[in-house]
Amino acid sequence: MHVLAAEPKLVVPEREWRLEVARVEDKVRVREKLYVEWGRYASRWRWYRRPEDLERVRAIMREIWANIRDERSERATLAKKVVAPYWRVGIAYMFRERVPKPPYYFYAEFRITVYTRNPDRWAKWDPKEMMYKDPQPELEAELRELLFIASILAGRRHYEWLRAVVEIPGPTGRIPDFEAVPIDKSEVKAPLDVKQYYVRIEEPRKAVEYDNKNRYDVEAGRRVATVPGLGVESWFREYRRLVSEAYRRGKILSPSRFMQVGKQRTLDEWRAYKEEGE
Amino acid sequence: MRLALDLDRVSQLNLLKVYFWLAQFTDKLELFISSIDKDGGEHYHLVAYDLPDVSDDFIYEMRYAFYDDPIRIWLDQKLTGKPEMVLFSRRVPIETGRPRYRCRLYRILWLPWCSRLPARKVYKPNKLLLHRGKWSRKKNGHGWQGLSTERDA
Repeated sequence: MHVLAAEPKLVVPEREWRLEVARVEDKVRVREKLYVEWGRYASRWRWYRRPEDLERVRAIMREIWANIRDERSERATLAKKVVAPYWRVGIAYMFRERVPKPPYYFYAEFRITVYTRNPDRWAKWDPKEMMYKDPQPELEAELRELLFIASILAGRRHYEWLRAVVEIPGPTGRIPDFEAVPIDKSEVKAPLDVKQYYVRIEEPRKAVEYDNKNRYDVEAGRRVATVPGLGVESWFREYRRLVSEAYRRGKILSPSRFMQVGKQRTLDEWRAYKEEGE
Repeated sequence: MRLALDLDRVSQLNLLKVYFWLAQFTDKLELFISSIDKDGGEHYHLVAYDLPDVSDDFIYEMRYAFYDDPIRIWLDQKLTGKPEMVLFSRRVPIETGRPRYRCRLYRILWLPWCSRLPARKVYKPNKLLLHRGKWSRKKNGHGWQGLSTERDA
């Protein structure tokens, strides 16, 4: 009754698919025989203590492990030959006040979503679990950079917000939440393989959503006309401008290294770094 | 149409009910267990594919009827730029800061669903059926303890 992915489509001819399935089944059948052999020679070694029986047992065990490894890799290729046509890969990072349920005193959500037909580009396939388990490191680094940029820009524009983000206690080195799911065509809301940024900030008196192009005012219940500097994409441009300006003034030795640090550190680690410096 | 349900602390009977309601309309169902509370409350993810197409409002009604997390539905209705029906396969709770993966359940009828005998202790899942590192982790030197109560978005 269960399936591994939605709307499975064969990407290879059906004949090739059937051959592949047969190959996996053969592996299993061979392994069953090997287990029997293992028991037979282990028993002989136990009763008669002949060294050639022990050698045989060891060889069979090695063969079984090779068989298991082969089967895993074959199953991985098999899974790649049935694909769902559309995938959504997303990572998110959420801050909240330590209250188990909403409304939180403060809530900030940073999210990157990609709609794609090629999820390998954005997520790492785990052949053992047969699922996409982790995002590609570049995607994760980009989210960290987004957090870093938001704090810098907020420091220039919304000091209250920055303070709230900075003052939330918590452990460092957290990895963002991740999902990679097959979706329907109707759920594809953006061009394929283009990163969709989404940021939501909620304070007691204010709730604002930002995405790639627009700003959505939740209380007004409508999109506010696009203002330069409010879309999340423009945050990246603004950040690069600031860094180049700082470099020109001599405040930063290496702009590339500075931006790399922003990609490496989470906000918590950055906070600890700042506190140490002070 | 795809339906992704986040069933938080739902009773076993309701989980079975939802599963077999959906099984009348599609055979493509995926079930995951995302976490278990200290008191035994279970959190499940249930995804149904290839359902007949219906309007958005009807999807929200269905999700309410199928015991989906009401806050999650409300957020999906209210917000605009955010992708809908998100179920994270990897979560990082604020309390622990360590990543937590959900486990796929290959059979719905894997639990001892009903018994006339009272439970003598909180149910502990079978390690062989689930991801081992997740359940065998010991905290504070004591035996098995449930995972955090942080709800999934």
